[in-house]
Amino acid sequence: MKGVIFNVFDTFVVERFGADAYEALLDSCTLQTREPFVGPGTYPDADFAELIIKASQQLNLPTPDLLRAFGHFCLPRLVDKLPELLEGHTAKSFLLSVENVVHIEVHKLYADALTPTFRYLDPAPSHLSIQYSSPRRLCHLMEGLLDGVSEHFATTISYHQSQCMLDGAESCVFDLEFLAQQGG
Amino acid sequence: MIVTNFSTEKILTRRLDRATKRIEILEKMIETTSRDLFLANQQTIQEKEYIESLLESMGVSLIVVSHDGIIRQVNAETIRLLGYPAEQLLGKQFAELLGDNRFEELITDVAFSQYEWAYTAHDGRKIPVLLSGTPVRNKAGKVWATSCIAVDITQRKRAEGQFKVMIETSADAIMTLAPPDWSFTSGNPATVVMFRSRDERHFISFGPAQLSPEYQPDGQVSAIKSQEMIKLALRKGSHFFEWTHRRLDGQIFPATVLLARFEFAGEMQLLATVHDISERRYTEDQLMRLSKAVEYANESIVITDPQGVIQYVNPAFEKLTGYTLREAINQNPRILKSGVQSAEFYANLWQTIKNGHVWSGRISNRAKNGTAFIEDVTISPIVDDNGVITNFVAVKKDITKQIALETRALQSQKLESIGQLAAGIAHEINTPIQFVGDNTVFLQRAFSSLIPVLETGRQLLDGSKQDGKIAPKAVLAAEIAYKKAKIGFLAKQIPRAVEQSLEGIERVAHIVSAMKEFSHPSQGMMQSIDLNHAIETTLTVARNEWKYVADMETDFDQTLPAMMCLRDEFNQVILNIIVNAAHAISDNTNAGKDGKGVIRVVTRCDGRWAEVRISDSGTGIPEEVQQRVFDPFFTTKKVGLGTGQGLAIARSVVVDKHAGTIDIDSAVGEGATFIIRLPIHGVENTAKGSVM
Repeated sequence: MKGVIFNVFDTFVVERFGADAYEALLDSCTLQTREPFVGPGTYPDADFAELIIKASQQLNLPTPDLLRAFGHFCLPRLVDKLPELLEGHTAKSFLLSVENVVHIEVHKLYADALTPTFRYLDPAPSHLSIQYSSPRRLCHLMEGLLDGVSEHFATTISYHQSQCMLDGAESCVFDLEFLAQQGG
Repeated sequence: MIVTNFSTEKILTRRLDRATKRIEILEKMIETTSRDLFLANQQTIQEKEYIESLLESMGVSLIVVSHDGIIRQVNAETIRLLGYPAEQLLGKQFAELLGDNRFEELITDVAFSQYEWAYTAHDGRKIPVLLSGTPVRNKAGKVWATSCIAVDITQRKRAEGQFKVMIETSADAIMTLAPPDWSFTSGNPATVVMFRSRDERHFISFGPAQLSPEYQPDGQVSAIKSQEMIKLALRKGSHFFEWTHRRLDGQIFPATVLLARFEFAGEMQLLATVHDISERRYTEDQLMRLSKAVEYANESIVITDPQGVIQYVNPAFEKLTGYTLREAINQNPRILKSGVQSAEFYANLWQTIKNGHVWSGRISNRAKNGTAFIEDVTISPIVDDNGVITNFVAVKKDITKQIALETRALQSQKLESIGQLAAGIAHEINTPIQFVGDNTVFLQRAFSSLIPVLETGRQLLDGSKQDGKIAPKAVLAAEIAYKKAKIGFLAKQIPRAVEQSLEGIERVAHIVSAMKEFSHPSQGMMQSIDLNHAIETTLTVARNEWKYVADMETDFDQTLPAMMCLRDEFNQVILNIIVNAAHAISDNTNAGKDGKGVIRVVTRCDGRWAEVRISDSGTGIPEEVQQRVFDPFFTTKKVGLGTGQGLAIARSVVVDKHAGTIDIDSAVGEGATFIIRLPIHGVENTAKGSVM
């Protein structure tokens, strides 16, 4: 997992729950990484998992909810780093560009980044199915990211997960419907 | 939510530490990348992009400045931080950002780290930054530029500023101590004030041992105990304790101390917060003293709520009444009610204190075992800041014994008066007794001289009865006896002698009766008396005291109704004043040799008051003496003549026992008038509320 994600998570906890909550979280974890996370660095997935699980316990928030909230918080902060990736896009065209544009740019930035794999099924203009597969199985984070996309493009996205790796499937499948733009 | 023990300062320190380490890691990354790229001269497009992306993702400002002072490269964070468009920053003099030319100090062949500096933003704002620099070399290994990484420390500075204000304005002394000998390294302004040093530098020139007395109150040596406290603080992280300090002027004061461990520049130090508790200790001591005073007071103290329900009684109350604190609590003070005072009396008392006034008076109460006692009571309302009554506090003095003593003193003065009067009274009685005796002797003789007349008369009577002839010898004898007896004289003098004797006997009877009335104790009971008659009686008893020096004039108001009075005590008052008046006139008339003076006694009914005025034509009383005449044991009479008790008792009887007034109207050389005013309807309707 890239350091940038750890750093955004730091910001997320501090902003939502306070700096002392983050310090307490760090103290409760036995991370493999001893030094502070820096954006370009790559760190063990286990560290991220531990942070999420401990945070969930300490903040008394179920892990899926925490991941969803973090995903929502994360999206605008990630796209801020490469704003041109969103230029000229709608919510749907942006999501369609993730696999072939965004992930490639991420690899340019972080050569050793391990990105998930997205496959698309585009059955109708207002619909999209995304098949998400990743050894990290962070489908709840994916939901939060979708919420972030919805907010960024001011488009209501109704999604339904028809298949989930957490239930033993090979990949997660999200069926999306793009509704009218929010706020007219 | 997580409950943590992190202070703002600790959090800031930890975050700053992490930011610093991040910078170090990033510096190394950049150095490695730069070296690889520049030395290999393989700046492919991809590598450039890598460098750029590295710069972008750092989250800190990076500016590459060539050694001519020109900005050659900036990252997005720099643009965001300074508010300049990138094109305006590139090619700009670095000195402009720094606000001076000191960049020459920075841009050298040597790396530097964590200088506190300030960048000037596009809008002119000064942004405090922590600046670190790494030399950038060309492929020949020559340093041509410096990459400057700046961390925005605005927040930290703000927090530091707030901490500084907090510390500088703190009323507590805050100081730091450093190893190895744990001497002071800094102290805030409160420290300087608290320890009375000249300034901070002066303060830190002293060691902790010099700011403590040799021993702590528990007997431990301060120098040893302070080392223990430091060890505890270092082991536990912080330690709170009480400590006795010594100011530099030698004054000792109690304080609380919080010693807290912290790390600074890689070294454990201590932060000490000293809070002077002299004031608190003083208040505690005051409260303790007050509480002890209440506990040990001789007076009973009762505290009730606004409804009169007892909340506290002190041991003196328990001892006097026999009710323990536990028994008394939640009771009403009416448990002590004796029935002596009327309902109206208590209503007046409650009205007074509920109106927020202080009530003082005398109450006759009854203890748990039925014993009666008399108390002088003062009841005060206690009000809160809003003026609402929260409690009543009664301070009560048991005066049962005092009253007994007063009664005894009065009785002894009365006996003393009677003793003094006895000679005069003896004289008063002696005069009529003497002429009654003389007259009796006269009557005895007269009767003896009448016996021959009666004898010769019987012989004449017997002769005439025998033969109707009266012997001339018998007639002669009768004539002689008759002449000898001086019948005409006797017929005139005997009735007079009898009359005089009866008069004398009456006078004696009168004096004896007055004497009896005067001295008969009224047992402290009020009784209905005729004031005029009482005064007359006293004048009679005291007649021998005044008759040689003064004429007595009385002017009694016959409309004066009978009134409730302690008869014998009132008589004593009149007697004391009359005797004083006679003495004053005696001084003025050379003991009567220069003619007699006048004592005038007048009674009047003045509405609800009976007034008695006793005037004399004596020497008068100087003003300064007037203020003291009612003080016990004050007398102007010669040694052996006055006891100084007479007017003091008069005042006590009139004012304390009858709720009346006694005043003097006098001027030197113009005699004196004592004015006594007594309430006609007794004492209970008056404010004083004295009850016997």
